[in-house]
Amino acid sequence: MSNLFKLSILTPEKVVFEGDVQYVHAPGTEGYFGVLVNHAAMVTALATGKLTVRNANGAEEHWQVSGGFFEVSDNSATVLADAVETAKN
Amino acid sequence: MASLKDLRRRIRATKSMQQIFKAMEMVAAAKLRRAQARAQAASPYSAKISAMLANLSASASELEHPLFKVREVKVTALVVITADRGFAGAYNTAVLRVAEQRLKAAAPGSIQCIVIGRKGRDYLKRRHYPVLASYADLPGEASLELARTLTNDLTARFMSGEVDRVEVLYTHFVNAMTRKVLQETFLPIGAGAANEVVAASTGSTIFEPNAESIFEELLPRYATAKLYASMADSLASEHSARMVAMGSARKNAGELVDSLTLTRNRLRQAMITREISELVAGAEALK
Repeated sequence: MSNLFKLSILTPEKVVFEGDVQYVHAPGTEGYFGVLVNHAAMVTALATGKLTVRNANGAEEHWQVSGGFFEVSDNSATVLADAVETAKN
Repeated sequence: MASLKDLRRRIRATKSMQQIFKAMEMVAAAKLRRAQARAQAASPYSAKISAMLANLSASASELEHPLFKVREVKVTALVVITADRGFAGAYNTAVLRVAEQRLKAAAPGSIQCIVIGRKGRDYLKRRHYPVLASYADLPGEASLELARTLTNDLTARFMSGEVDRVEVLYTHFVNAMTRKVLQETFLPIGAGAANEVVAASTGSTIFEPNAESIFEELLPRYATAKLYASMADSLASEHSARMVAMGSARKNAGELVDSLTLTRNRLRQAMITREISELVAGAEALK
């Protein structure tokens, strides 16, 4: 059984990231949360903060997001952010 | 009959115009490619946010929001998206013609315009149509900033009851040769949006913190995304219209140069022939 799920990070202007990942750590309005494979369907609002993604190779990537939504259903997650900047660690 | 000197001057002038047309055509082609890429890059987001909205309104049907409410329509705001610059064939005229038809058909005062682009603003103001607001000196590329400002402006007017309905008139880019003026209802949002994809909902989605607050956050973003998409689409149309218009202007200039050159050569030949026969006649007379 694969431990990967699909993630796409979208802003109104462009597609920032698209691919399979192991883990997503995101700033919800109610605090940071993590999502692994087979997560229950969920929609949540995002606050401003750091978005961390562990990709298929186990390497971590970081972004700074400000506002938006996070949705996951059927092992397919989407970050709809107002703005995204790449961040170092 | 034009003199040889006049003809030469016209040929030179037409040739330099042709060069300008060619340059403008190439600039428009380059800008079209960029505008198209931007319009395409925006589409995953707006598709996703539409799906989310549909999903949300399907799984929580009791949700209510002022932006969703269909009211009795007394005043409609018509957002007309045009360009700042002309030289784009029928691009501006096509949109403005549709707008003018709407304005003429409606009772006076029941349609208020909000114009984007200097061309549209000047046209409607000159004809004394009611213009609520106008945005000119647009950025060269589709701007999210502008879409946000405009969304805020429009929602504020809608919420305050100044207008009861907002429609957007823009040009949809089909391909480099074809454009279509489209009219979409922007506010209230429910009119068309929520019914799109009601199937996908499982009803078991967790909403955090709750469906209402997500709904509240989602609506303005949905509106912005939609407006941004229309603006990006219009911009691609503008550049493609300009590219086509400049292309045919360049071709016409080329044909003009050809026919002028032909006339010039004939005239020159005729002059030479006349001079020779005069010389021959003079020589004969001296014998």
